[in-house]
Amino acid sequence: MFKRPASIRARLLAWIGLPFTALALLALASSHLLLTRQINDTFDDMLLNAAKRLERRIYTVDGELHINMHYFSVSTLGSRGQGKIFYRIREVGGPMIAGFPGLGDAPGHLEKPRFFDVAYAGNDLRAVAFTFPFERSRQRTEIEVIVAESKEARYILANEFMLTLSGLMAVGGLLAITLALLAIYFAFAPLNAVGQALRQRSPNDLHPIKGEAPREIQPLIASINQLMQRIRRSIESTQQLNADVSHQLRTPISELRALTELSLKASQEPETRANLAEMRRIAEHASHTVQQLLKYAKTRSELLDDTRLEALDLTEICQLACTQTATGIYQKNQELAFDMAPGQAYQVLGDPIMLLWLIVNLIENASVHAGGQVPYRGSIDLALAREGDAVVLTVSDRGTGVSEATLSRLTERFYRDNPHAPGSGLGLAIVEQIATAHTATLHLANRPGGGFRVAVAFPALRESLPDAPSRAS
Amino acid sequence: MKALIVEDNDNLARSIAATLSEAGFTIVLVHDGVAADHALAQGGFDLLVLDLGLPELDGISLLRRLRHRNDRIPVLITSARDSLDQRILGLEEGADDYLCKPFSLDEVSARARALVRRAKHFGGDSLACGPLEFFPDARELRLEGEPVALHRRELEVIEYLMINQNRLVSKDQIIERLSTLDEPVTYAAVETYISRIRKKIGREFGLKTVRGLGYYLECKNHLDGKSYLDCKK
Repeated sequence: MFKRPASIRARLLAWIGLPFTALALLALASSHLLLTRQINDTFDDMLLNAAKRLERRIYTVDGELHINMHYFSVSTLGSRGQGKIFYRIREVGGPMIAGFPGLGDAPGHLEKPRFFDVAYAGNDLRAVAFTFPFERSRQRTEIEVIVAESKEARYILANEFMLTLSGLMAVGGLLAITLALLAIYFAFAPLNAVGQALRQRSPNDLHPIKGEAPREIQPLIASINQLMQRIRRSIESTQQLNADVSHQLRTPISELRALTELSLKASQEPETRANLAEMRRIAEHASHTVQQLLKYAKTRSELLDDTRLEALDLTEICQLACTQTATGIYQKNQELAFDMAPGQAYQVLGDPIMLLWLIVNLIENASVHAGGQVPYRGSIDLALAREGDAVVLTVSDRGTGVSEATLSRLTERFYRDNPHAPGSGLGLAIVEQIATAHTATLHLANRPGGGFRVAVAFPALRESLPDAPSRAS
Repeated sequence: MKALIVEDNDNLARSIAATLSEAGFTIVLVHDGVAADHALAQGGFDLLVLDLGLPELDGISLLRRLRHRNDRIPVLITSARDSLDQRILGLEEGADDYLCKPFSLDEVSARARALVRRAKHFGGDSLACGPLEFFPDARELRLEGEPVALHRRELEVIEYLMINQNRLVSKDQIIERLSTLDEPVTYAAVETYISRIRKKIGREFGLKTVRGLGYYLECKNHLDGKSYLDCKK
């Protein structure tokens, strides 16, 4: 069965809301009880007063008992003029003097006024009964008075009170829930902040979460940081192994390469020379791959520490990369060019050695692959430009370009668009890794005029920042 | 020319020795740092090819000792350690160039000759590049044996380009080379010198303008230095 994940917010709301609702209901019920009792007492008093007034209106004429009904009307009897009034006046043990004969008797003795509920003519009534002594023809007698009124007035008053009270409680409850929701929202804000910070991270960022956090979520952050630390260590050890393997292969490959070259010089026999030349090519390829693997291992962006990044000018690094690659480029009858606005600083935050690798890799990539199936003879153009908040480095050639289908695969490790060209298949993967480490975006495309172009957009460093000394020079 | 090769790997030592010997060097080969230190103390070498990972006395310490006693011999470091910090350390300690393993023998030979050329231009040996030959003592440039009439500044520029043949030379480097305190040189001046040199030589001789970067003097009289590009200073 599908189970919804537990929500802390829902739990908090339930734990706060349910008891408070129960309390509110209890409060309403007890209010209702107290209120009806109070209202009843008040109404009863008023009923008794009205009844007492009847007492004064009884008189005798020739020993006959009469009631002065001119001044006595139903409306003046009622407590608030609402509802119906019934009464019955009679001599105790004698005939009825006035009123409704069917009105029920009061239960029990009437030493003092007695209140009771009674039904009459389909009405729920509240009645008061009492007796008072009366002198008739010098004879002492007892007169009993019962006055009853319908209970609507009491109900209406009680209901009005209860309605107002319930309304107030409902408003209070809503206010309380809103406050609770707000409190929950603010209480969860730091947790949400952590979540957001994690979501906004680059997928390769394994640095510990930093910043102030409330005590309650610190254990969670500590655990996340420990986990990231473990992932980091595991990647580190894999990459260290990769680096160690590459490193250990260097010397033997060096020997193979050197001895092959030496033998090639010494040998005159065509078949041996052909084999040796092939061996030399393979050894060169192996040594290139070993070096690229080492670079790949060392530029894993998860392992980079941004605190090592320094403010530097890409111009110098481009110049250095060109100086390093120029000899190889010109030996292949290719040319280099570098375009930038003179006097303009292209400041970025970076690691000079990795940025150098990035640019050298892009130049080499163009040098090896620009011609497609045939060796490229043409210009490799570097350019730096400011585009908004970015410093954009482009390396482009005027070669054959690549098919649109392979564009997206070029940065895959060991993917080689042209398996016949020399290369390790790591060049652009290294470039992408270094770009990622610098929060730069990599854009591979065919040039409109033919050829291939790689653009790397670095976030520009604000000019106002003081220039840090550059190690690249 | 005499080269001292310090390399503990026998196969590599033999290969480098054979290559440099073919390039015209007289070779002394040692396998550890202490022996190298002794040999260097005797003097008389034009080039030191030094492996950093040596038994007994490591390459960096050897280099430090060498520079400490003011020995200006050109040093080409070869190392299997690639960490760029290592490389920078080597260069800071006074190495002139750095090759990391695996390297091609042609590259070793080209670098060795470039180092010696740069060190020797204070001496009397002539510099050659294709049809051009420069005689430092006579301050004269010859095109296929015929002297070319160049002014002092133009001679200095062509000499510098020939010393750094097959390398990218920036205008800043030329300016740094030509400028004196009382005679500063501008970019425009460098461009003028270059254009005059081209006009006076009057034919293609391998000098290329590298847009935005400087100049490249290509000299084909070299062994083909075909190699990967990624492990150069």
